[in-house]
Amino acid sequence: VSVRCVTLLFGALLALSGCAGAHYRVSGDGLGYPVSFSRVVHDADGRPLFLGEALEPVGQFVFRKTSVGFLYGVTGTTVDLSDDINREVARFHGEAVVSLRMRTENCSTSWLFPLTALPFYPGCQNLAVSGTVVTRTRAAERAGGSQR
Amino acid sequence: MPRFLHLTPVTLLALALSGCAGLTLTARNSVDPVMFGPVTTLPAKGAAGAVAVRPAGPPFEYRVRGTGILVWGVGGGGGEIASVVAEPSDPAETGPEWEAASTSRVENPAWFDWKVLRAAGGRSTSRVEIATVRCGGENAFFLFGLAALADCEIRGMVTREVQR
Repeated sequence: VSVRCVTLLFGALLALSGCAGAHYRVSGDGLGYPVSFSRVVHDADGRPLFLGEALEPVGQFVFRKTSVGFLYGVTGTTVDLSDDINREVARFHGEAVVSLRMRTENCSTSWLFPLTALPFYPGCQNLAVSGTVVTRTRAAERAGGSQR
Repeated sequence: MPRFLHLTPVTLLALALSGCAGLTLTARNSVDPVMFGPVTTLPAKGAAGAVAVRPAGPPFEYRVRGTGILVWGVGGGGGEIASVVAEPSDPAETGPEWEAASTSRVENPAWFDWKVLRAAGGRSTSRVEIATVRCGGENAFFLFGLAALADCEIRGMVTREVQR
């Protein structure tokens, strides 16, 4: 098999291929409340406060963000969750977020071959964010206050 | 029939497969706080939330990768492969415990919980503070099939409050 044949075969395979996607960094630099992936946060004295015990849920939220990428998914962006989460906590008059959940998925538009063979075709990723807004129970507030 | 029309059913099939490479990040079963963002404790009402902490272990690192591949053969038919793999970030994570925590093929957030438990050691004064979360993925169309890839990487550190 000559080098030329291999090159032609490789070129043909490339011509029948397409790829699109995106990469992103998730930012929470502007968060004004404690946000935990688990069901527990520490209070100011380092005591663990668990959902269902010292923390009571006051609301839940779900929102989506989309990140766009070019050059077959090489380029990336930053997805900032700060404003959305701050707004949700304020809306429910909460103090923190627990059970934070992030789910990242490829966009369906990234399947659209042969458009995805073009380097400037925008691929994308969807990020679904959900969480439970909580506040301290009265008992937890009293217990925290009595130790100061 | 033009070649483009042959591609249409494939594109429709690909659309139906959208979302097959998705990853979920959660630590809902962890007993330690896994904090995201600059505020890491719940301050007393009306007070500032600054608490002195110090690193209590090596950097926390978690990587997970999801792959979905659909291969079709000539004249129809095909095979599908789907898996989610959490990659160990240090040699201590390659034993039977890690294997037991990573048995599910499609989605298993227990990997993250296991990782938190190992890192924080279940101490009530320890917590994981996440510094960066990066995710991404691609959908690819090849001559022989489709592939959907997704990956996420979480970095942070385990901290413990300074005794006052």
